[in-house]
Amino acid sequence: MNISGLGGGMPRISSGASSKMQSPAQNVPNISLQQSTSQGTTPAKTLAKSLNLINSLGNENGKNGNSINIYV
Amino acid sequence: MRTLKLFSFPFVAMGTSCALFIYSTRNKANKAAKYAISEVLRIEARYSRYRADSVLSEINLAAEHGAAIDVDEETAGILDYAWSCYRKSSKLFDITSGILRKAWNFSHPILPEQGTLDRILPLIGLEKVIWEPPRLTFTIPGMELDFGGICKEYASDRAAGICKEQGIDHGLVDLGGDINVIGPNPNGEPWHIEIRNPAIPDTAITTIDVARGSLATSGNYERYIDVDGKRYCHILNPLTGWPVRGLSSVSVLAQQCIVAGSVSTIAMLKGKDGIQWLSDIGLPHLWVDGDGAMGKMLPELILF
Repeated sequence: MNISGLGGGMPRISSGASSKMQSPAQNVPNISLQQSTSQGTTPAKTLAKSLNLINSLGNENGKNGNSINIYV
Repeated sequence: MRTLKLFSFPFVAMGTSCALFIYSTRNKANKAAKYAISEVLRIEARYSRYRADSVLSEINLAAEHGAAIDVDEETAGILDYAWSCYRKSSKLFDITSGILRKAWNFSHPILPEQGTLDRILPLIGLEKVIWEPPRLTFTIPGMELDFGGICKEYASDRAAGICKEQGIDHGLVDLGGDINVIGPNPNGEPWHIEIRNPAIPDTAITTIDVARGSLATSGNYERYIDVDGKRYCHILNPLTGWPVRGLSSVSVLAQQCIVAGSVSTIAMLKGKDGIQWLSDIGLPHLWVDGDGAMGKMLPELILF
């Protein structure tokens, strides 16, 4: 499966997409504003996790990888 | 065990083309997609600056008058996150900078007058807003907030989270290029995600294999104007009011799309300094500069 054209732009299924990919039009459900009954992950929990992650960045992680420069 | 099929659910939200790709049974995929898309639309309704009845419009009404407003828990979470990005970026990632739209029109190749920018710049700066949860106080009338750069990515995370709650282990959420990979295909094969070449439209500069995690990209090729042979992109430095220079595209991978998105935007805002900053941050990333040079720090497979 390939998803291409990403990168802030408009994604599209590439011409090389897997034959497993089904036609989107076959599977579109009727969408109405409806909230999941599940109480597992709330908006507040999602945002709290994001806040922890952004605050932790650069504190310890910065020494991990090596940047490779490629000229194209 | 029933074979899982791939179902796709294209839809439009937040002014862009979106899609869910879910491996599951038909009923389960339909149910998960319905809930996930509803959540994206809910977030759009709350934080769109185009809707007069949105939470954001309510906040901006207070901002216009230099007033105070109490916000709900979810909005407080977004504001906490925005303040962290502001600090992390040395004041470059600034949710008060959207007002620069009044000076820049990327539909016409005309640059704004410096005088116009000079009149707007005093209305920018998150330090001019007092945030004492749940109260938000605007000290200067005429400011405004814009959650662009946060909400679409947050919605991608929420949609993926809801799919997981619905028992989906294999799939992908794509909100206009803000990607959250729920999980690889049922055989364990990762998603192959191409990164657009900023210099050549409709071509890929590389492909990244993501089994789990998020990918977001900021680029200078989405909206821009060319004036006298020079490109002016829509990513604006809130301290100067002028478009950023130095990098053409930055892609970042993180556990959450909101983090991938804000880190890629901050790197773009930092220009060439963003390259070292990305390295210090330590998340997998790829950058392309204005001369076409590319650098990356990417493992072979992304699996958060």
